[in-house]
Amino acid sequence: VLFNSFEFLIFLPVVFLLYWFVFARTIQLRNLFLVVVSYVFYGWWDYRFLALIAFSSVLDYFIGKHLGHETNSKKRKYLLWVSLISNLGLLGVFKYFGFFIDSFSELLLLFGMNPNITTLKILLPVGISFYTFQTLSYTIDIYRRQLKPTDNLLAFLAFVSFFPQLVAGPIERAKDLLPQFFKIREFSYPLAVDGLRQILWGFFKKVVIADNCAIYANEIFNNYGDHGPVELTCGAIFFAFQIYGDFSGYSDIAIGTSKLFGFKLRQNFAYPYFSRDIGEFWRRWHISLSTWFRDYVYIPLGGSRVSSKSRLAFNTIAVFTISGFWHGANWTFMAWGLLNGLLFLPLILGKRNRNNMAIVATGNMLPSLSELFHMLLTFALICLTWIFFRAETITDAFHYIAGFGGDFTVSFSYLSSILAVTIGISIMLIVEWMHREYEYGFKNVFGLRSRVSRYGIYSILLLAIFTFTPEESSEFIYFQF
Amino acid sequence: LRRFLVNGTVFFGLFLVLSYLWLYILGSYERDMVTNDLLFPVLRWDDFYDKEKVDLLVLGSSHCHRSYNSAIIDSMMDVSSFNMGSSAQTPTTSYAVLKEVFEHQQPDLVVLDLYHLIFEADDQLRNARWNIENLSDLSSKIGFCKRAYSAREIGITAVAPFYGHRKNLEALFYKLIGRNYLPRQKGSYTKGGYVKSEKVVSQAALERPNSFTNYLFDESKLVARHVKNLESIISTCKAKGVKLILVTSPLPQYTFDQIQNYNDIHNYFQGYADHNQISYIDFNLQELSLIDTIHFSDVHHLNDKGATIVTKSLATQLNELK
Repeated sequence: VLFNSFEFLIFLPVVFLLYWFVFARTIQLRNLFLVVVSYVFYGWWDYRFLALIAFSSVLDYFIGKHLGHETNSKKRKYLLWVSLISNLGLLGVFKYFGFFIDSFSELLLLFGMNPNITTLKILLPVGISFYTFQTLSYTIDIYRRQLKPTDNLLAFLAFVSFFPQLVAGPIERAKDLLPQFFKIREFSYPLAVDGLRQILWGFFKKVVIADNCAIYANEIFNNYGDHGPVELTCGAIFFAFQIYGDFSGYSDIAIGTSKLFGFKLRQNFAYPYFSRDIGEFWRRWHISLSTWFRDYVYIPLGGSRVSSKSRLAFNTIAVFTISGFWHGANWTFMAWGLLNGLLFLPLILGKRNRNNMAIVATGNMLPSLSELFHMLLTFALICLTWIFFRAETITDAFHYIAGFGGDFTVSFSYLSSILAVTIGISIMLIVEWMHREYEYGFKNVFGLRSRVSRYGIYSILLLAIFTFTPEESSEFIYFQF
Repeated sequence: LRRFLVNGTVFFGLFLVLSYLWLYILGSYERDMVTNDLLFPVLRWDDFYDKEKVDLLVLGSSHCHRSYNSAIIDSMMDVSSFNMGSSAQTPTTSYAVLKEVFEHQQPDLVVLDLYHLIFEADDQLRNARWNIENLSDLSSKIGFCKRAYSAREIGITAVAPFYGHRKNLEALFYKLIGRNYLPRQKGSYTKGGYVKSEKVVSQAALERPNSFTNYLFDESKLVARHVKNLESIISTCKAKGVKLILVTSPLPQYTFDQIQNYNDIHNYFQGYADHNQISYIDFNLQELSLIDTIHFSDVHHLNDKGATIVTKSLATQLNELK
């Protein structure tokens, strides 16, 4: 079931009512219900891949249990490797197998050989990259003795498959989410209302911003050769807002939905486009993934506490490149990761990566000129990296960038529609700027106290969501990862 | 929890009120179209309900109401015909129209115009709605909704009734800033459902890129429910003992040549005709001596001169089939 589908509009209220009214007797019953509805939610897309989630969950549950009891360090290491190889193996087969075979074939072709290798077209199971990382963090944390294993299989199954965050995160850590499955969950009115508000804001970003930006971003990226520098710039900017609206919108819907069931998930986006440097951007963009790579890849590699600058540079570039590759089996994602790493490198080598830790313009209505300049510069650099993320091939990305030097002509055929999208983006940015000290961009509803005015604002948002739904509503981009 | 549900219901009620207010505002565009005689389904359904007898019914999209002149059919075949074609009418809508017609009339012959692009379109909340809004009574409207809308579309219409009108927003913006917001008059409605257009397309207009440019027919792009409803139309006519003829109105030669695999389109529809032992007249494959810049009003519609030739040919062939 997609969040932006009609089915979800039916699914969510039904599950909500059953959860609080019918399956409220015991925690076990509620967890069982959550596992069932989560599997239904996932199986709606393709029930065959339910076996993969079940396999990953059961395997890591038992490995976790053994790791918890085992004292022999060799055996512990062996168990961890079983978990790593099994989980990353599945990810490798389903996500990267075709890519490696194709790349190998192309390499052989370069040397004049005709390998004639036929690859299987393997369907990528939705959300595999997310739940694999979530279960991996469980076994790694137990191995590091930072977490005690659970004896409750049902709770563990619910933790791995929890439907709001199953297919595109946030990637939760067992120490944060798993204990919530053992707590008696009382209905909290403020939490549920907050959840609905966050869902509403998430839908606004997905439907009004992302899906409408997608129309023009797709048109420009698919035919970049026909467009001049102004349109290409617009294309990159529209894609930047498409991916932000799409993914942060998804995260808001996921977090908001969890709140309806009494769960709190971690914040995944913290207004990344208001960042003043790349370091700050990466502390605010896809936080659950960035911190995962920090904790399970960057720090084990030595992190920033290494003796030489070359090692520090290697660690940084490696983590960014692997993170890029996590997004998809394509050289473009690796190039995107690498480019971000290169942009981040001067900051970390100069120890300036933690310069902008505070929220921009805290206590002020507007940013200073210097802050504004740095925000715009960071945004421009991020847009440049998004070109590699969005392009079909690296060659396309370079051609797209080369197009910025073309003739200065404007040939937009849908200028009024583009203007409307720009107005939508501006509204979102203003609202988020006003809420930048809050968890999400609509949390305190401009500080309105009266219920009528708040309901009025919610209604307007809902009217906008329905009114600006494009003909072709697209899937969430991060589903493909 | 009770407070949450009560407040949620209150909010939903407020939202519904605002929804209907928004519907009223967005709907003003179509009300203006009606005032200016631009929304033909209104005139057509009024005309239909006033009609005493319909022997021959023509169904289909705008190709249908712009290609087949009921007056010519009546005089050549000595029947009382009615053209129920409407803009972007999908086979799903055609089926609902047919069922509504059967509630009021007993035609002996149904002519269904098949246009491949319509099988790829799925905006029921617009093309079906234009018909629904003009039906005579509530039970007809409910019946039509059930046939023409999916559960999703019924749900959306109930919760956000303005949803199908959202394309009107741009026109209303132009109205607000005082610019011309109504579509240009593309033809005039005539009794019996035919829409007459004197306009002639220019060669330059034909050559501009459009939805036919390098078009490649692909069966997998066809909307499943439209295909299913084509079958429903066939079986309903069979069950009622009503003769059904499938037709395809002609495209300008220039447009036709843009389609890379027209034979596949023809064979697809011919397959249905053969399988159900019904006749299929494809005017694209018949020699009618139509000239693009004389007999067509735009890149895919006939003008009155072209429609006259095509209708005469249709009536002749229908007489032969009798």
